[in-house]
Amino acid sequence: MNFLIVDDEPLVRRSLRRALEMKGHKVSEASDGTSGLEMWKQQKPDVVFLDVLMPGLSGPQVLQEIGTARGTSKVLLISAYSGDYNLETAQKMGADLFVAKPFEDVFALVTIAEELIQRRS
Amino acid sequence: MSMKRHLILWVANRPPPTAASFEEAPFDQCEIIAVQDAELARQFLKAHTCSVVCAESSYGLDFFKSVQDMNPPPVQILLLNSEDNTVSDILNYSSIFEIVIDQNDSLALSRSMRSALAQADLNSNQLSLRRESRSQNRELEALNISLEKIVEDRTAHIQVAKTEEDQKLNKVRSLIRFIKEIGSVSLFEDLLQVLRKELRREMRGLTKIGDPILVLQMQPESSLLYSFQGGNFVKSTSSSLPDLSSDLTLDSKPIKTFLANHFGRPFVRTTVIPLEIKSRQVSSVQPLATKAKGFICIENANTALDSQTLVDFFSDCLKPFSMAIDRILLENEHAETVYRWEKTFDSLQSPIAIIDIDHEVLRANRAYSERLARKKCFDSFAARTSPCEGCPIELALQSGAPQSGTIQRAGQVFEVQSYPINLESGRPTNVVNHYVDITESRGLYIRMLQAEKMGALGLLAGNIAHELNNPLTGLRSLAQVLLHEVPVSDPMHSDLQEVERAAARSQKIIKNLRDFSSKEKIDKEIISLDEVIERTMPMLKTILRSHRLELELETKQYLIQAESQMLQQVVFNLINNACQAMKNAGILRISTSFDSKKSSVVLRVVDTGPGIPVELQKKVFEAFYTTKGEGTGTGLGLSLSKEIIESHKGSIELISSLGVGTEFCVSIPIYKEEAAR
Repeated sequence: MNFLIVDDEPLVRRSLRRALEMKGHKVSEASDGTSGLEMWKQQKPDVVFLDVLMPGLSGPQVLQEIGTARGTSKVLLISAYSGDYNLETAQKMGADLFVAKPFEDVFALVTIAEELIQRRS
Repeated sequence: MSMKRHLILWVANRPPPTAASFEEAPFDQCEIIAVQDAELARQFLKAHTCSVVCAESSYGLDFFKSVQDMNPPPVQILLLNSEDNTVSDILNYSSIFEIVIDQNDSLALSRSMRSALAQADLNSNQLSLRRESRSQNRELEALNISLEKIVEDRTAHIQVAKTEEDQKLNKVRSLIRFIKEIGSVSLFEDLLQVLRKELRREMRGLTKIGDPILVLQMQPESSLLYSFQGGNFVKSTSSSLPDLSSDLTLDSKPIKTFLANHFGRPFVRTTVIPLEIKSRQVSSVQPLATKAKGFICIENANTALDSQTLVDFFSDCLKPFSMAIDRILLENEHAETVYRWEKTFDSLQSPIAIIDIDHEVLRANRAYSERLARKKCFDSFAARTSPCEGCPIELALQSGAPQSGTIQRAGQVFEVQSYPINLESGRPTNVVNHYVDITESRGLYIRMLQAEKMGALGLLAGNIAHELNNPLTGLRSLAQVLLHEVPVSDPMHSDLQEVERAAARSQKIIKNLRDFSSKEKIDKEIISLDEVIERTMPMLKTILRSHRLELELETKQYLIQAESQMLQQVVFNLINNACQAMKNAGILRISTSFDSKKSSVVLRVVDTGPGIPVELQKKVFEAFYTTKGEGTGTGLGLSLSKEIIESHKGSIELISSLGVGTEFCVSIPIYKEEAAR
């Protein structure tokens, strides 16, 4: 499966990529909202990990911009500010799941993402 | 027969001559009596006044002597008829005017008798002259006596006049003494005692005189009576005096009825002396009170004379006596005023004291202290041994202007206002200190400052948490990934475990920090900005005291959706900043208005401080920027305020010009129900 990680924190991208690759997935990374949006449009990934607060476009803004170009991609909104969003508000914006940073177990996150895809198919 | 002018006694044995020569003058006017016996002659002489005695020497010396002793003595002619010694004795020892040697020589005899008669005439003239002069002497003497009497009378008269003068002088002296006495008393009792004594002394002659009664009408509705009852001074109150203006006689009936009603006994003869009182009536009803009335009433037993004596007595001392009453009234009023002021000061809940340059308390109200025996203010007020820190007395005395400061006393905080008492000349040496217990409002202020600090800390923690959260998340996740890749047997596995645990622990710490900082988040309420400001003002009482506040709140009807405590924090912060910016007493203007274009309420906080230089104006909203001294500000107040205002979708700006002041302008959109749905 193809994964896209949009996050401005290198260590987050790196750890997620390693965990996903260990499970045999293909991973691309973007370090800000704008390039994230471009890559999303080009690569049509199965799952997008989308950070909320980033330089350039924020996560919700990217979601708004992608619109119908999103295709069948599943979106996990990730935020360090758990207070601002929850699953309901995230789903309103078009995300499939909401994950608050920090996550307890990176592999659990990978498993959740895999299950999202499986549910779709 | 016409009165013979002269009697001539002829004492001889022979008859007297009848010769022609004795028919002529002066003998035609003489009668010659002839006697022979000496004893007969003597008796005749005793019975009649004879001018001339002609006697023979033979009658002897004794006879002539006895003739000579007659009063007045006749002129003697000695008729010689013997030649013996008796003649020489007679001549020597009696006064013989003429000697006729020959009795028959009628010529010689008539000549001798003529000269004797002339001598008798002379004698008689002399005698009458003497008599006349004697009577004149007597008249003179009488005149003298009457003159003396006149002089005596005059002297006596002068004496009487002098006594009268003395009496007058004594009267004046006693009047002066009386005036002095009544001038030194300060109680009606003493005044009346002095009058009573004086009356008794001056009116000793009066048959019966009663004790004086003083009636004063100080209020329209009642009268005061000062009297002696059984020798004791009594003050009593009665209903209003009768109207006496029209009927004021010495023996006024209305007054007698009034006294009789009051004292419950008849008043028969009473002299009423109206006093000339200048004091005004005390009236709550009429602001322009009329003069107070006063009378001295004295019972006197009977005659009209007594009354007149009393009137005379009072005519001299009425003015000074009335003045004494005025003075006592004034002194009483003064004492009353002093008493009222004392009560006024005592009823104030805040401590007030008049303190001199040596920190000694001159006067203080009840609230000030119960330890007034301690003279120094710091001792009596704060139980200290040295002046309180922050006390503005010294500054107030030096500057001559009111100063304020804050002092502490056993857990209480007092704001002290020192008002120097400026007398005509020189620097003030006394101050009036007014203490206000600001412990409570001070506590509110400190709590608000604390809240600001906590808010700032929360902001900081939130920021740090966010910044740390990202790398920590990556760190922990990477450690988890690596743990999967490294076999358990590899020593690096346990190292990675440590890293993972440390990252987890760090996350926990940050989570706690965030929980803590977001703890004060409170549900938003629908409220007017005005109310938020009104809720905040009590906490600013302390700091606002030094400035003039102009508050104009006009947006009560416009509601906003706000975390009111957070907004209070902003309002507090802006006002506190403005007050701290004004080093001297200034004007703080706080106003709210509605901006219909932006449909926002606008809060303006304007101070008259020094202003903010342009280059610093952008920095004031930056976190950790402060111009306040260390420990006074966190440098987070304005950045936190900006954050809070922005979280309310509002904006904050500042307009400032140097030397004029600074204005902070906060704008918050009003709450719209449609927007909420």
